[in-house]
Amino acid sequence: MKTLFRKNLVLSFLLALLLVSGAVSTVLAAPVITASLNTDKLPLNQAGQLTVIITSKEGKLKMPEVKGLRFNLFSKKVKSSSIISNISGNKKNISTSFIFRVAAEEEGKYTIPPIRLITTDKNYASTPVTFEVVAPVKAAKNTGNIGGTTIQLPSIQLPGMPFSQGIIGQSAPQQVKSGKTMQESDIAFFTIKTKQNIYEGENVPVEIKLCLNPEIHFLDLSMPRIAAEDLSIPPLDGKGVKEDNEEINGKIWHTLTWQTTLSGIKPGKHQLDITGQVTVRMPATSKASSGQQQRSHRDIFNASPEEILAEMMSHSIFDNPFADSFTPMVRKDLTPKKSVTFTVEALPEKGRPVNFTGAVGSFNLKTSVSRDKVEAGDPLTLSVEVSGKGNFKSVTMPKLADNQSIKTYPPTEKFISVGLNAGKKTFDQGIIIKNSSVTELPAVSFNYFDPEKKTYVTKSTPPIPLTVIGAGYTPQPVPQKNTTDQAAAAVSTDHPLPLKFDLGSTTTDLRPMPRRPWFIFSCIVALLAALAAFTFRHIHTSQRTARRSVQKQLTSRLAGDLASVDKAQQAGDGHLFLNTCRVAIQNRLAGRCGVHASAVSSSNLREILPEDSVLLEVFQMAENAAYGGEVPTDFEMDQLYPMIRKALEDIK
Amino acid sequence: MNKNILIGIILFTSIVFQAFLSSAATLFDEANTNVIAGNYSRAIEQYNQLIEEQGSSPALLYNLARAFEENGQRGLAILNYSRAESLAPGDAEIISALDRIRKANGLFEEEAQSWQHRFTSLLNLNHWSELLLGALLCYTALQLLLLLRSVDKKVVVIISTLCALVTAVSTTAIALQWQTMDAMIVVSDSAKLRLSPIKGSDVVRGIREGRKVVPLKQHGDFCYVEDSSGTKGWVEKKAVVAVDGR
Repeated sequence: MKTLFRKNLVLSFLLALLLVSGAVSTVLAAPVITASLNTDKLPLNQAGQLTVIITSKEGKLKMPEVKGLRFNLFSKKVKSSSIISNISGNKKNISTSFIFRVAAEEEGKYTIPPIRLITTDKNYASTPVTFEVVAPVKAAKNTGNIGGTTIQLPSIQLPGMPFSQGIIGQSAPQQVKSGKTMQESDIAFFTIKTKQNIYEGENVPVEIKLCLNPEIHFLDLSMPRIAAEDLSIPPLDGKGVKEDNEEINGKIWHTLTWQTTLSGIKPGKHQLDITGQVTVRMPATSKASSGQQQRSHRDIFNASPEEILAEMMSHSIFDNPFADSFTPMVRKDLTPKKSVTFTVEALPEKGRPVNFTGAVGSFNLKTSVSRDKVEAGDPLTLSVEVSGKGNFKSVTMPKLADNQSIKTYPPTEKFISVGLNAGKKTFDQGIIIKNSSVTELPAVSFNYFDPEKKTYVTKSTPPIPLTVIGAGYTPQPVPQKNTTDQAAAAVSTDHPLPLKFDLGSTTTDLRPMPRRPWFIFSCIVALLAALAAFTFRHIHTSQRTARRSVQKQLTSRLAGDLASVDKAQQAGDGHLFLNTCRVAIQNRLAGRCGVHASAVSSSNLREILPEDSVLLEVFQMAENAAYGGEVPTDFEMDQLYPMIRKALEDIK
Repeated sequence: MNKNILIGIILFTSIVFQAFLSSAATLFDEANTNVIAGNYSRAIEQYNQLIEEQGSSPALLYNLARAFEENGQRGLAILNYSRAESLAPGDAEIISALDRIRKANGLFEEEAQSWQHRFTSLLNLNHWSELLLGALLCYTALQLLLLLRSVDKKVVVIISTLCALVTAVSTTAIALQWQTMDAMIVVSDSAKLRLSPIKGSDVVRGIREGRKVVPLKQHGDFCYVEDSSGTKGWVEKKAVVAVDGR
């Protein structure tokens, strides 16, 4: 029983161990995608090496975009190895390494976000990579690997091409081993993609590609020259060049691509030669098949101890640093060439339309008019649009069919390019319909040779219906207004209107009205008069309004004062009666006296009121009463009040 | 005695004036007869003599334009038709003749693109000016009338609003057409628009005789002009003549 228990225990332990080891191996298995940078401190003027390794998976690598950082794919390597799996036995493991050159635009701390691998079933991501870009270090003379960490990216500019870092720039060759013979085609070569059998006048697109080995340090690069007889091709320039990294025959190349067009001028076989000129720097022992050699300054005697140490550390232990790194560097001028022979065939005579102008390609035709209802003699514009692909230089305005009733003028033309060999040419032609017998604009036909169909094509548009109003352009005599009818009748009938025979009033001033002094003077006078009248009226109205307002105030105050007087009378208070009467008289006559109401005295009143005025009498009574004089009785107040009221109300 | 002297002076003046007018009318008739007879050069001389002595009139300019047209000088013909039109903007014969000669020589005016241009083209500059002056005078008369007597407030508001509206519209139209007041006509059949005001400089393009252009600036013997299609360039001063006779 014990033995059985022990056996079971051992078996259980082994089983558990197996399971645990399986789980651990699964957990500790290498991740699908890893990313690492060869340094954590990158000088600003140098490039780091970012290595992305993808294990056992295939998919699309998606590089993140980081502001201030540039990634250039440098190389791609695929390795396969066998590993022993603890469960399924031998298994083939494939890993793909991508090496990118990383360059920064400014100093600072950067984090490269996870790099993603997109597969059909799942997406994988690497861990973020953090590093710091530090102040630039002084460039070493040899432009080689410094300390095995960073690689300087010198730049080369094509004449007329914008600055581009790292397209050609490269460190000392890593794969160019000393003693290995290199052909010129291993460094730089041209490819030309085009159609080689063409027709005379046919425009064909041409793609010219200059492929440069990214492992070579290019010092200079001139614009490729094109030589071709009886072929028309514009010279290459730096404006339209496209720069890329492409895999050609299993190797990554830096490519410069020009898209242009070519056309054959004369029938026959014509050769197109493209010649470039590049200057490279490479170890002297790497023998290129052509080019001149110059000794470089770089050798062991010129290198600093740090550089020597750096060179030694940058190579693997299996390399011989003294046999490799300190090999003298040389400067070589190479001239990659490419020739293509074009067969230019003459356009066939058979079926050639009479009014064929040499247009070769594939075109569409469209017409329109500015208006479809016109008066005889009025102009209208016929627009003819030819669009498509081909040699637009030979596309001319199609001729309208002869018609005595339609007068045409030379057209204007406008070309809009919509691609390398495509575009739209628009012709605007002025037209006069002379009389109402015209009911439509005739059809427009355009002929061209289609190189695909190898035949002439005629495109036509339908006639455009027109409504022409009026008797026509023919001159019509106008009734003579004045004398000398015979003379007028003798005037050429080519002209619709006769002479004028009344001289009329003359003037020496031909200026338009706004420039004539009398017009300007009249406008100014009218404006000033209107302004003066308006201002005068406005002031007058304001004064009247003010007077009315004062009058209203006085009337209102008088009513209040009379009410107080009435109240004092009702109360039978003689003192109050006289006092309120005095205030009412002062308020009413202050304006006429020209003093403040409270300052109006009996002497002021005597100047403006008659001597027998009841107001003067009452005012005097009030002054006397203030100094102990008599006050009116009720009866006297009854008598006085209506008289005072009337006298105050009568004052204007 | 004094009265008799005054009457004598008046009579003498009127006789001299009549004789002057009569001689002008005679010369005008003579020039017209020369046009009819086909003596265009002589007729042109006589019309020009009349213009120098008497000044221009719509009829005189019109007939001069006709003589130039018959003589094959279409630039000068269009110039004088344009001048006649500026003096008599509503004259149907002048408008018709100008329209006809332009069409016959392929001198189409560019169609007005914007609504502002279409609107201002409804009337010519002189018509807009007359409208402006009329509106100003009407408003002045209203203000003066209001000083003398009271007028219904509604009538005042309506008339004032109309005057303000017409003034605003005509002023805008005049402002938009301001540049055309300086219009010039190409009178040379070999005129060219050049890139620079230098003889022998690159030619932008040829410009047709009779084409209306607007001067923008001047330099030496050249004038920088813009035609109705918007093309600008330097043209020799002797190849263009201002419509207003500057």
